Amino acid sequence: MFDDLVEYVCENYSRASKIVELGVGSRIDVAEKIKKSLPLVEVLVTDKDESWVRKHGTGQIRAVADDVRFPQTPIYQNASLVYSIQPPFEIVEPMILLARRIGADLLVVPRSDEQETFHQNQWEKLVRKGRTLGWLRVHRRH
Amino acid sequence: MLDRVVVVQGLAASPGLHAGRAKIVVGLQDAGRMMKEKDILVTRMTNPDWVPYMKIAGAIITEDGGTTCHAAIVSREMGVPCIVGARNATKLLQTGKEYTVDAKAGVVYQGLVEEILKPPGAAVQQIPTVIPVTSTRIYVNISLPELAEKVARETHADGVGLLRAEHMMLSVGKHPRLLIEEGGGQRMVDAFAEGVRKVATPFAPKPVVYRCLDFKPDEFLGLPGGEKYERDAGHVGPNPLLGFRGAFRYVKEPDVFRLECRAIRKVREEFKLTNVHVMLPFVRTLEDFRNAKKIMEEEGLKRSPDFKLWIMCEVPATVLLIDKFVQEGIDGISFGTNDLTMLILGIDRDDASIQEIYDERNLAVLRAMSHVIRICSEAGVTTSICGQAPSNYPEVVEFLVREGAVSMSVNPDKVIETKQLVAGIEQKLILEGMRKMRQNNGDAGVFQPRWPK
Repeated sequence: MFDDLVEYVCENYSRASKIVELGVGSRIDVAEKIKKSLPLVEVLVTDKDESWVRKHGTGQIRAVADDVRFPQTPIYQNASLVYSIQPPFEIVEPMILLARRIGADLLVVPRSDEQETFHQNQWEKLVRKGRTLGWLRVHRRH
Repeated sequence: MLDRVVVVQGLAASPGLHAGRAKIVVGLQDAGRMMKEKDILVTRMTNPDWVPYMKIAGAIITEDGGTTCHAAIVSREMGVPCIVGARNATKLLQTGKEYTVDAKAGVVYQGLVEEILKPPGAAVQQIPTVIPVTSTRIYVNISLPELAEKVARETHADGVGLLRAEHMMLSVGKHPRLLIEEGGGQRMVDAFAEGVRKVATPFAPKPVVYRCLDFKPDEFLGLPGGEKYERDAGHVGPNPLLGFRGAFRYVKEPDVFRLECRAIRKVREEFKLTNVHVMLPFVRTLEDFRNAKKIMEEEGLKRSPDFKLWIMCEVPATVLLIDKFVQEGIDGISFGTNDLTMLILGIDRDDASIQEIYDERNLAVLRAMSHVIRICSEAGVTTSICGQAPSNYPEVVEFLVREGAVSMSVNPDKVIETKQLVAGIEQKLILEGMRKMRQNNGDAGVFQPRWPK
């Protein structure tokens, strides 16, 4: 699942120094696939819930407890991309603020009934194989 | 000349400023005795038992913990300034002494530091946002129960028109069938009940409409057990949006649906939060509705003046048969404009090649909503909307108010804006009504004041 997302990230962020998944929750497979395809890129996952983070830390991927509404900016410094899979819509705005502050692109893959929230000018719809992959905001400085 | 003496430093966990007297509290028994309103609570670490004292504190300082510890999370939800990881705070600060807590910088200063509390320019008065009272109720959509208290406090919403269950399921972290297989059904009941409680408490007595779990089959795949119970079970079809979901699913998998019902019953009966009501999503046929309702009744959720059952109106069949659904027994409907538009216009919402004609303002969609509102209004069934259309298009808001929708539910950042917009539309309607009345009474077109003689 989310193979199209992995492909997109690997094709477009292969030169990134850091990629961060926000709100990793119960699944780390997407971050693992990205790391496998981009072994030189630092892949980091975060979640507000420390129990998820404890579960996910691996030798390859660093997992950090952090609340995106009150982020510890140094964790994200130098990231080229922050992405989130099916986040609650309430925390999309804090994600935008974070991405803007650190100068990283933000890619959100919303749940299907929250897609319409992204029908705004600042979001670019990403399409892959004719399907909507997610929504992107470009702030990249790195 | 600034005269600031830093006494303690730590991590800024909940931003804000506060000056007051410190209370060094080691144990809970001391807290009850020592803590007064607006005191600075200084302790090693908090846990849920400390919440009553955290609520009255003007600021909170803990020696241990990081930005996701209990004190940090709770203080942010409460909007109380908080510094965590402040080493030796219980030794360096003294009970009864005054300090200034700058929880933006993570610093505690000795005494009252006026230039921090009242920075230059602070005297300029801010014009408060006027939140009008509207006849059309403006509800809020909530996905994350942890934020409900803040949303209730800041938006002044008239209730919750859509409480989504999907993120509660993600928090549980397993496919519900896997949970049941492992004997963990009660875990889901408890987690959902707790999530709903977190929303219903700050909003009480205002209504909270809980929408039953509406994951599409592919959205379950991310959860452990998802592959087995969705893909292997043959539920993931070519278009999951039109697949194994909604009321049909509840009837086919009643054991999972019953867990949700038990959670709602627990909230209503054990937590005494009777402001919680239920909404069934993606209702396709009368039979599905009837059967789902029967399961709810078996689980103790029976319609009454105190407990309302809503359905989402997002399938054309529900629009065409709305009179039958009313007869069958519903208390409310809420338009899900995303799916309704998709199905009326025959547009796959996920197919990028035809999105340019996807438009919730299409006349066919508006006519469908108009028809449903009319039938429901005649029958005394409440009408609402929880799709994105009112947030994206002001003209849809005006259309709904004019048609007589009782409420609309929008995202938290749109509540105040929508209230202001609706207030203007309602005033315009009143004015139009008055003008019409005058014309019908044969008044002249120009206003003639009647001066007292």
